Amino acid sequence: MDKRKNRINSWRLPLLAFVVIIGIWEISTDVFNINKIILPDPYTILISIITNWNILIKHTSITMIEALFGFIIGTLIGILIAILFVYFSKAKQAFYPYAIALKATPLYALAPLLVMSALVAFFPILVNTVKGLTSVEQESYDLFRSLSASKWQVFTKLRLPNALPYIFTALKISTTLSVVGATIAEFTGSSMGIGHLIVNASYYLDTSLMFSGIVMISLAGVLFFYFVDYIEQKMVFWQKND
Amino acid sequence: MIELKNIHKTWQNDKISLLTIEDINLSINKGEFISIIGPSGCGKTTLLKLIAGLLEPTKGQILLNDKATNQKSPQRLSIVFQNPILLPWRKIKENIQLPNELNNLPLNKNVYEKIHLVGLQEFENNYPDELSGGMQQRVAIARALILNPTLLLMDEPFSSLDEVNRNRLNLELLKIWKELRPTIIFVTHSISDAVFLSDRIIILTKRPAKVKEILSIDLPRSRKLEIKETLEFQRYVKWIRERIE
Repeated sequence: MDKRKNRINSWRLPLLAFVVIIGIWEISTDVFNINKIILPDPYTILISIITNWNILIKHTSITMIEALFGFIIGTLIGILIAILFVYFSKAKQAFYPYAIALKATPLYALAPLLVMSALVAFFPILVNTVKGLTSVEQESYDLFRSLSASKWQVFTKLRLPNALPYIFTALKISTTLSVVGATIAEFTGSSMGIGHLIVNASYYLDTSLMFSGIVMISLAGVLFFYFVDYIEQKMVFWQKND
Repeated sequence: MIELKNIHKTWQNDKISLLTIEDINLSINKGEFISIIGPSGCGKTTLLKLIAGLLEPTKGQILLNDKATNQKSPQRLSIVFQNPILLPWRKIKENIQLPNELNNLPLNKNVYEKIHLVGLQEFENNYPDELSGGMQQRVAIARALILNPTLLLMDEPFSSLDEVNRNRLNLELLKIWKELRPTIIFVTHSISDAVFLSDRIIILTKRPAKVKEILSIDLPRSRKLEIKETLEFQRYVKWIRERIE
């Protein structure tokens, strides 16, 4: 009962905030008489979304598929390299500085599509997986050793489950990052996808369509985030969320 | 039987080398209940880990039934740590099954018997965070007993519990000990618990730890809590306290 009440409460405030912000936006575009090319009002954007629904869905799906692929590839590589770093400290010493340097490079300007969303997903996963795998208490290792556990058993039955909450924290960060990554990569390197649509629309001064694209991809990103959040609650059930 | 022959342990890293244990000689009989007591930070836990084979002595030798602990042998020893160290993603039953699982034994071997022994039959399908501290430590004891160890090492297992729970678990531990007769080495900083539980108490000095005294407790067995009020019990406690301070 309490849980359900909490859930309703947790939706009520964001909804209220949404209504307030949209309301202020709608009213202020009228009051200050802002040109629709500079900032269209929410109602115009809504109409634009409805009339362009098919195109928007198509391009959003393309971008989301790219983001998803990048997300998966980045995650897998991130976890693999993290395991490598943890078990071969020489590898970590040798490559970690470059991983950091790579993170500091303005990747958005360089990389094409998939590589892009994979790369942005990769770093949080790498860092958090390393942290999760190494944050096991000494006593737990002692317990496993006293029970003559093999290295493989220590990995699968202790370190990996211990790392899961950390990995999921990173996964949630990576969801939105990979969507943003895919979108931005489409600005220059693509003739499809929501990023392309946004740039094109802005070129033709169709600001309402541009905002429609932004709204669509944001919604998709949010859905993606809550999907992973849902999986987390199922898989990392022992971790109490605050 | 367990024998420690002039055991030394030095902690070493780049900057310092610290002698924590200096020339400890002990022999512990099969089925004996031994407590180790001493000032905090004196190396009690280190000594226990040496016996468990989790650490190597810098010098000296430890023999379990005439075999060196560092030989890879299926030594029948279990440890109960200060924290219960339960895996939060496993149910109580699955936590207790862990030793079987790691040793490729039938999963349920001895499991229900031990769950019963520690009185947790109603909680086998709960998760650790649904249990109180005392109950969690019971799970840890059941897990430690699952392989029927002949040697049970306990490192301040009840120190985080309140007195009522500690007394209750002390009594249960004695019951288990009477039933299964393992050798128990019990590290504690509670003098009263040590006197209540043990056949012999080993008092260590400040670091580097040496054996200061070995005291036999000649109180009748099948001890009940009331024994703590006897003059004899309190004499033991006083005697030890004077030697630790």
